[in-house]
Amino acid sequence: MGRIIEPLKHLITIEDLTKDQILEFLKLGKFFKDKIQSGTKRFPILNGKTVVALFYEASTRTRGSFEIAAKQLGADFVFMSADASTSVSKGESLLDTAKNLEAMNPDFLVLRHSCSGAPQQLVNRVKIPLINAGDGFHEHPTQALLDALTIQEQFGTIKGLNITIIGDIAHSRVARSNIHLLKKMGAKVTVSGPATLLPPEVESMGVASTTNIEKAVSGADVVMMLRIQFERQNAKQIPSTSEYFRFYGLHEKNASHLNQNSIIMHPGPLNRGVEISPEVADGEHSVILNQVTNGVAIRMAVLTILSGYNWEKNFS
Amino acid sequence: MSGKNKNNFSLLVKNGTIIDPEKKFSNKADLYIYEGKIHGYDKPGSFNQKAKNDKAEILDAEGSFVSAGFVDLHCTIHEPGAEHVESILTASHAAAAGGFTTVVMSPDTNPIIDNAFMVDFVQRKVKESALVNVLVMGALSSGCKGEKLAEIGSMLEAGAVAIGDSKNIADSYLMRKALEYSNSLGATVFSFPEDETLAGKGVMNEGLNSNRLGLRGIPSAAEEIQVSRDLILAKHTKSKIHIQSISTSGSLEIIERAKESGVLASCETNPQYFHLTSDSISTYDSNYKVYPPLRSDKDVEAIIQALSSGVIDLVSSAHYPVSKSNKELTFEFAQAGMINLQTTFSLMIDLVNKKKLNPIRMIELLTKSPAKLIGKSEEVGSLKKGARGDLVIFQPKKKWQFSEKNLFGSSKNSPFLGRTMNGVVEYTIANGKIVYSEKVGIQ
Repeated sequence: MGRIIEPLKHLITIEDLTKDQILEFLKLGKFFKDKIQSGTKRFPILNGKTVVALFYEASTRTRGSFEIAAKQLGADFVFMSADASTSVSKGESLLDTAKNLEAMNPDFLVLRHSCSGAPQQLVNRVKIPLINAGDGFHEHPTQALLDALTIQEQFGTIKGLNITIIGDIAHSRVARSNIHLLKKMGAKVTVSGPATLLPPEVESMGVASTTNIEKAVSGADVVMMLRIQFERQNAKQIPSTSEYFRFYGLHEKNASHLNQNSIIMHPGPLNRGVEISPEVADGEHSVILNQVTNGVAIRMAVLTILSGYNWEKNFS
Repeated sequence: MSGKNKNNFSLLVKNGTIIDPEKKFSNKADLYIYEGKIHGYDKPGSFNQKAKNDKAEILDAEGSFVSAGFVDLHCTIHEPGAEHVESILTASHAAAAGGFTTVVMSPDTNPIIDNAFMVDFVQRKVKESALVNVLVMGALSSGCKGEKLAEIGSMLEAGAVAIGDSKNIADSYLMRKALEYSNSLGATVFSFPEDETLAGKGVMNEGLNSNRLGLRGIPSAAEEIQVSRDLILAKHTKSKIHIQSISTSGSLEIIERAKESGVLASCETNPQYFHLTSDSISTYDSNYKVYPPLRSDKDVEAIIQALSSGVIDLVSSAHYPVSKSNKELTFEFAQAGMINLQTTFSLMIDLVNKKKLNPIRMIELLTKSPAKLIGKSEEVGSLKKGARGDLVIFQPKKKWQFSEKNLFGSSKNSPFLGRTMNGVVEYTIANGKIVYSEKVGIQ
């Protein structure tokens, strides 16, 4: 099979990807996952290359997952953080950032930024592949890809599934990337949460919305819970965490409306007892730890594809 | 009066098409400026003998349009405080290049123009360096902090032509008192309406685009609530009020109703609000970050209609220079503002060329209306005998490229930089002297 997919240089948004490009990430992600699970942990695809991760915002999972992915591909991984509270994250011009990084001669740049749009503003100024590891409330493309892989593993396909995303939709990059991806793959998406946390004109993104959690959960094949981000939260949007849990949390009463083979997902880190009860988080429907495992495989796929490596030929 | 030209120039402008909103006149005529003041205009040839006797300079405007120089009531100049971002000199050059011969500068300098000493100081700087007529607006509140009244009376006495903070006054009681006090002294209060609690940390218009881009939104209601409040206060105090930078269709509906019920209100819009929508922000280009934010197609259409219908009284530039280091940041942290002195004319003539605005009305919005609002209609923005000899001569259909080469201000924060613009300012004349020409630039 010839390569018919437009070669990607950067991974900035899901919105800009085609369905075929998404499928390629999923296919290669699945390949890596299966190989890892059967004991292979080293793939010398990026030997001698350097991945620089520049994080202007705290992260555990995404950072760790990129590091393992890079190392399993044979690359060096350099992590640089800028405290979100320093003037650097707010004030340093993106041009300066780009120049500084290029001067270090890395082969990949993984960027997490607290401001929406930072990677878009940077992308034309760097010559190396740029991977968005989350920008503000905007997008988190690798999270959406690992979520898609997790869903695909459970159901074989994404097309036609009923998928509900619950929580702070307005301030969630995970929600935005997932909405774009799931719509492109043909799922029916419903967003839910308190009215104060649903963005304006959300239906124009092609999703249904409801503030009734029971309704949102009933008949859903997939329920994605979002973290309630108190660090970004205006205290005027929710009366209290306990009221939030009672009305909008996923607890056993709500979860009882789920189908037998429905799955519950969460991008982490969990606030147990705020958006999800411990019982449900650790219960039979939960695939939260699969997501973490798939995160490594997907990020390996992203690095491999952006490196231009002809995996279809070499892995056949 | 301020202005650099102490010499009195006489100038005959021949064969142009004169546009005079005062007399609803738009026809071929000669216009004569005698010793720096408008003498009059009449059919071609009328002033030939007089010009010859006076040894006046002669300018052939065959095929071009001639109007009174434009008057801008809303312009930020960072002198004193940040002259490298824009000084009175550089702003006056940009104004001249854009056809503006009178500019009212906002009090948001550093220090703030909130007392008579500062008005005097700025007027002295204007005399030293300005190429066109630069007037001063006094702050409404001390330090523009919105807490207590500034020395409004003393500033008016020193020459301030209007009162306003160029930002929202959150305190309704202070606004009421400012209206009562200013009005009793014959000055109009300029209001910049934004409910800051509702706007919150918003950086663009709230709607589909803000949702898509993951940027916090500012709802139209943030403007409309404050427009309503200020109109109610103006009604209650029977005071004149001028509302700056209208950006939403809802504000226009509210203002129209208030005017119909007799409120002494006027309002302005700025070129970005009839030319750009929030769609422009798709690449996070911070040159599109302005306050109030760029709105929707529906708002743009309503604003264009209101320019013709008269609900909007005038257009001002809202020129706001921002340094590169404050603009080249993420959209969230970039400073808002757009330089408009050189593009306002082109963006308006664009409406005329598209038949969305009558040319006489366009000139009225840029000359007669703003001059009247600051009580200077005998002096500026007018072709009446005795008015300042300030003119702009332009070609509506000709195009020009806005580039760093012909950028006269010190800052570059315009999304129009690099674009081809409609309508060329061929000459700008201040006090009878050519201060800008398309061919030579600043003279």
